[in-house]
Amino acid sequence: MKAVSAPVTPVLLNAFMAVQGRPTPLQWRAWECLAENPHALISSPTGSGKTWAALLPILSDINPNPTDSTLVLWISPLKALVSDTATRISQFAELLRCQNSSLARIRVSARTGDIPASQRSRDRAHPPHIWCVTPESLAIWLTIPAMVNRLKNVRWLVVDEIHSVAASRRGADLALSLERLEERLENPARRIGISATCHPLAAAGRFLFGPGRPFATVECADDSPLELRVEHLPHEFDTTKTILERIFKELDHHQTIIVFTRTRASAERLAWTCRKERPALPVGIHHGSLAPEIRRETETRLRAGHLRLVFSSTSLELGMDIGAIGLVVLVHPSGEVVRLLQRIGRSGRGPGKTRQGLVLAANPSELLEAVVTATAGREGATEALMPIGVCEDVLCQHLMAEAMLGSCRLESFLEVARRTGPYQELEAGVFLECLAYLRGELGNQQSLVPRLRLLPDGRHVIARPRMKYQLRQSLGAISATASRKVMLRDSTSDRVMGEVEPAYADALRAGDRFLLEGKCVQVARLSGPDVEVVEASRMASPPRWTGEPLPLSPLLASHLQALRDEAARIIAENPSLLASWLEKRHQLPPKESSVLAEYFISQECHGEIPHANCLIAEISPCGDEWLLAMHTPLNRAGNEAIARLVARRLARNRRAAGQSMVADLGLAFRLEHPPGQPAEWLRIILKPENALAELEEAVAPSDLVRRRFQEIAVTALMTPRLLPKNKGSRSPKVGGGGWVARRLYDQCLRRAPGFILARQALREILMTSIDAAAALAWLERVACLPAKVRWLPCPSPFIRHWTQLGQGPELAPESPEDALKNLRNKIMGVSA
Amino acid sequence: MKRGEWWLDHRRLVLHEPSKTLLAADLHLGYLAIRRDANESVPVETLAEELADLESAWNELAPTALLIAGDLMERGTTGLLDAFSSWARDRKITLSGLVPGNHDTGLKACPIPILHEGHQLGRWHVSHDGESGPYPVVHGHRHPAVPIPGHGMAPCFVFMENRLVLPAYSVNAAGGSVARRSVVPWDGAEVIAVAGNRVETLGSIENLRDVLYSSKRTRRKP
Repeated sequence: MKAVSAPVTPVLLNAFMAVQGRPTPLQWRAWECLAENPHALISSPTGSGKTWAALLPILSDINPNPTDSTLVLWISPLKALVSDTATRISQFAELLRCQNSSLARIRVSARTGDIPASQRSRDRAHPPHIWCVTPESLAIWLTIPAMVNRLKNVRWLVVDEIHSVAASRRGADLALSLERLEERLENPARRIGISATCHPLAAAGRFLFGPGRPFATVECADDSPLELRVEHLPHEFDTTKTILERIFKELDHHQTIIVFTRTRASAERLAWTCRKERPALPVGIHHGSLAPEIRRETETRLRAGHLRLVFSSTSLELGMDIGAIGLVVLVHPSGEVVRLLQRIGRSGRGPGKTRQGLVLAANPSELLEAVVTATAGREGATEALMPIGVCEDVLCQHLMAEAMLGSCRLESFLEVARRTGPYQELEAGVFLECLAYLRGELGNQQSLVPRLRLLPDGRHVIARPRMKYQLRQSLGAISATASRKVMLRDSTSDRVMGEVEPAYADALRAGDRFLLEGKCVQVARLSGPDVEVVEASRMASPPRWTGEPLPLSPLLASHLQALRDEAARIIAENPSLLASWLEKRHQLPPKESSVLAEYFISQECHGEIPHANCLIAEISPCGDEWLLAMHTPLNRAGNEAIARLVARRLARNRRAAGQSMVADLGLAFRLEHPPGQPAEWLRIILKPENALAELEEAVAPSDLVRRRFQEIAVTALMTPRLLPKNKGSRSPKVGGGGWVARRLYDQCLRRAPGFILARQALREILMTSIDAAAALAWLERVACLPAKVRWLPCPSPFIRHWTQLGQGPELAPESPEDALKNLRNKIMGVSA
Repeated sequence: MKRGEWWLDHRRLVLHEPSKTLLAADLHLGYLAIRRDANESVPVETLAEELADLESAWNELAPTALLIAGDLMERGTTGLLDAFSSWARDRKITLSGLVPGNHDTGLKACPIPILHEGHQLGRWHVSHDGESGPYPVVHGHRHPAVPIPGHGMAPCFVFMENRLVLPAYSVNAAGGSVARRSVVPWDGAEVIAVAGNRVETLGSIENLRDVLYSSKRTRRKP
């Protein structure tokens, strides 16, 4: 496709310069690029003018006579960002028009699930020229023929914050939506991708443009000054107060501070305590379980400079405009270099302005991780973007959506899908299996309720018309768990505060207290699905929200190992040099470098610093049991794979019993008796032969895979996101919320051992929650290394401070009968 | 496993030995059919498949009658009652009756005797939820289950001198953990779990809770 538009027209350029001043170098380069190329990817840090870099060529193209139809779709991943972008573009276009009345009035609107009916009616009557939408709204539109018709004149497709969707299932969903829309356009659209700094940029480009669209990249590295401090903040008693006291000191130097925490619960705890300690300080809180209205208010107040402190988990990471932030504080390391830079990039905000960040570490292990992350951040060594590949459940959803647009020959959709980045290598066999599932086939039998019906002439139609409504309710690749709303009742009005997970809500009783929105609330009534609360004043704990802690990236795990190796080498030469080396190499203050040096030396004295050329394990007594711990260079997902493989191998022993624990950089087993010859035992349980097959056997029936299957079943429209509340149709509750994971998974596999959605669940878990590839590579390496086992009186410092420590698989016999017998013997105190 | 007059079977039902009555509760027949009616794409399951374990127990234990202690169906339908009645007739299974449970609606013109006041088996009273006497009582409704390391939740019986709680016969029923007092509020109860073809006593509920809670406590940092 040849570029047809001129660069930014002189009229627009003059108007722009009158409003905004001289264009930034990025903007000049982007405009030149788009003058010569039909598609472009613009990547630069926050505040460098990416939005106007994309917008001006578009305005040049659609001015001065925009047709009375939608010409631009601007897609952003968050509802808040969609609304924010629409407002900014609309205001900016109007400012330009004030400079030169020959410019056309451009209609801009936003469409998300929150947009009121009145706005929708206005948009129907007068389609906006530029429509800002979420990927999910676009997916819904692509099931409505009238809506698709309204979009047929679209000339530009802009995808904002592309780095935040390219590696996720939402990215797979968006890619298919864009390609399906292209099929129905009058003329091919031009695509612009906007991204924060990510690498490799070509990967982001291949995701957005697919294999067949040549594209150009405009990249601007973030060379704004970075002041990044890492501090050790030891606490003995109250972590929350210690953190707050440290943050309060920074308020003397910065007008506004954002504090990023690892979890929503931490953000709640800090906000509540802060309000108690400093009632006069304007404080906000922002996370994904708060009501959208509360989040919007926090963003507005932040932008207006009315807040001094805001506590957030991950929701303030993405690029909506929140004004000038003086300092970003991270409570605990970020787990990823990309995340660290994204968060710190919220400060400064603008070319030449200094980005200021402070990472607080609670113990030496966190300090080590923070140091490594900060150094990688300063050196620009970030994790590589890994764009998403084939997601069969998302494909099923789009096949259904295609059928909803009218009966069609869906087999031709294979080529459409292959034009997208994620599906460019989609196998015909997989595609046909998806179609077979949708037709209700399971294991060559018509066992399932079909979603599609195949007509004699080869076209597919929706099997039952009433499914259309149900399917539109389920569209979107985000696996939304049904949450329970928390309603605050006070003397003036009732309002939604936020939401909690069903399991947490089910355990609540009237009078229970918890924290939400940085306030203490007390349960007044539990009626229907909602939790009604009133404000209370006493201390409480925040709710539990699952699936939050941020994993350590494999890149940082390998950097940590490298630092350990280097520290071990320096200690072997001259331990007194370690602190000064750390100070110089990692730009650490003397106090922190002393803490770390002491940590390494303590590990070396107590046990040994794990290094890459040896497998090091420790055995120490632990109450009535023994702890066998292994140091590895893997992050938690890699260690989870090792733990599951070991549990599988031990399960062949009918008396296997114990508990595994997994963490970043190691795993451990609590055993009743230590192995007699531990080095030999390790060789056997860690042998690489047949490891992948055994790991798959271990993981396939696990809760991890079952829960992923449950999510996939919803996306693939096997079970609805919400059960219908029609008269005479009661949702079958006796199976409980986990029935799909617990029973349907087994039932499908019994009838069809290779059922495509079950295969997808297993594959995804082996790539994400359980890093099978990293684990297997480590096993291969370790098989050639010597093994050292140390018997210690207690676990070494490194193990005592493991981060992201959590429960791994239980060690249990393979057969449920033997497992029951072991439990009985344990309870009865009978030796096996 | 024998307990008093009862034979506790790994197929999640019991035999009252003096009267040779096979007793099951919480079958929730038609569960998958209801999900299919709600347009969920779940596999077909025939009545024979749902009742395979019951049929196997009938053939092996050779009782003289079958009694259902409530929630025979997930949702009451005449068609399902007729189908169940035909299933029993085809296999020469004598149906004592159905003590209706909270899920058993639409029981008019039922081909099975409906025992609204419960039923007496020797000194034991059969009801669905066991909320009120007479005692001793045998009932279902609570779906007791216990976590087995590495193998998820296992259905279990709860036995006391004056109460026997049956596990849910239906494999579709989510189990209620016996660790919760809302499932087993009675002190001194014995928990007897089923895993595969094995039935094992796990001793007293107090002891079991101690072990289950101490397992949670040991999941702490080294």
